[in-house]
Amino acid sequence: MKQSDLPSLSVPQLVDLFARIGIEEDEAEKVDDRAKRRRLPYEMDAVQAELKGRPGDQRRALLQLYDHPNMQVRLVAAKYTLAVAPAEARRMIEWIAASNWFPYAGDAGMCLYMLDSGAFVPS
Amino acid sequence: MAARPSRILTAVPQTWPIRLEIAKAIHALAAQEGERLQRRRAELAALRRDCELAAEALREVCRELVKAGFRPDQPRWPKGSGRRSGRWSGGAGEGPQASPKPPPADSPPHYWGMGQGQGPPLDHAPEIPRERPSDESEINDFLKAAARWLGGAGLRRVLEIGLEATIGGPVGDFLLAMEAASWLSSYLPYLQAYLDAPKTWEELQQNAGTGYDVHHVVEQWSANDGIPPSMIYSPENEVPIPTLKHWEINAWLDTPNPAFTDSEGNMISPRESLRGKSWEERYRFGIGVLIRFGVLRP
Repeated sequence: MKQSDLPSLSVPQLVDLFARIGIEEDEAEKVDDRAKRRRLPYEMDAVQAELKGRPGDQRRALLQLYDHPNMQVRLVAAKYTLAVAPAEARRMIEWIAASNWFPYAGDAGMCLYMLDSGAFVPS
Repeated sequence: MAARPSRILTAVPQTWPIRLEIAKAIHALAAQEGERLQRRRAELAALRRDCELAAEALREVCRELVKAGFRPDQPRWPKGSGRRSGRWSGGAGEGPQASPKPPPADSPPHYWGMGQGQGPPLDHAPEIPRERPSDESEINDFLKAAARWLGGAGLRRVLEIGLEATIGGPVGDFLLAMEAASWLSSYLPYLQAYLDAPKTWEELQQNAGTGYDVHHVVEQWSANDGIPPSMIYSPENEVPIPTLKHWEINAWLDTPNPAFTDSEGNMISPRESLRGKSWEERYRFGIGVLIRFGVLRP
């Protein structure tokens, strides 16, 4: 999927693509595929930017991924909804940070660290 | 035709003082080699002791499981059931079972009902290769998966809620299967180290042997970014942590992350975000990482 194809996708298709990239990210981390590990977050970022740019900022559609069976998908969905649903997103991130399920718990904990220090201001 | 004399033999004058020197040199080399061999043997013996200790710890858990009521005749998935073949099939019978716990009161609205009502799912233990994989990266992938599964779902929870919770369940099955895979015994220290509870800085300094790597709170590459090597390689910056945690933290530091951006708002990795930062900022961040990845006790 090219970035130039994203405008032609519906919101549900974008959400589905976001989840699929999240699963791939998880897999890349597990098998330590560095090239993928470093490329996929930018692909996901492009998808959320497309949702953000749709009328009414459609990133709230990512809230449905809080129920996703993959922990990485839930975590990135929460990070990318911090600007549109701050309370729900933060609760999700706090919950993952306390889950003892690493590396997600560590990533979630550092996300809170960055939020609380003011270095990460979701927009 | 007479054989030509060796060039080495003819190049060295065959006088008695020279021969004596050669003999002395050979003796010195042999002594060095002997010391090296002795050191290597001592290292191997220590490694073996570590492995035996780790294996014994896991065996002890398995023994406890059996003592607490595990029975090999419990219902198993029959051969041909795919990945589940041979594993516990449910209906463990009379063995005591863990009561599912309710979700915590402050769980998110979309609580996802993970394994046993809380914590990560217990029903997807990684597949244990019967034979030692020939590819080292496959072994590493398995170790990571096993450590995470046990760390998230298994041993710590076993310690919290009691061994009986694992009887006939996936954790008990997994531990027994690990014990049966003899090739795994030399890797058990890595799993055991990963399962360490968070420790104080002083306790971490006691970590030693197989399963631990020296971690630099302020990373070594910082020497090329204005941080003096004398600070990077100082005791306040070097700490032995579980190897698998070390890998986990390294991968996280190297991966672009939406919580980290450059001055123009472009996503970067946590490692890249530290470029140009002071020693204090890097150190504070590094300690924060150790705490949040469950290595250092706050």
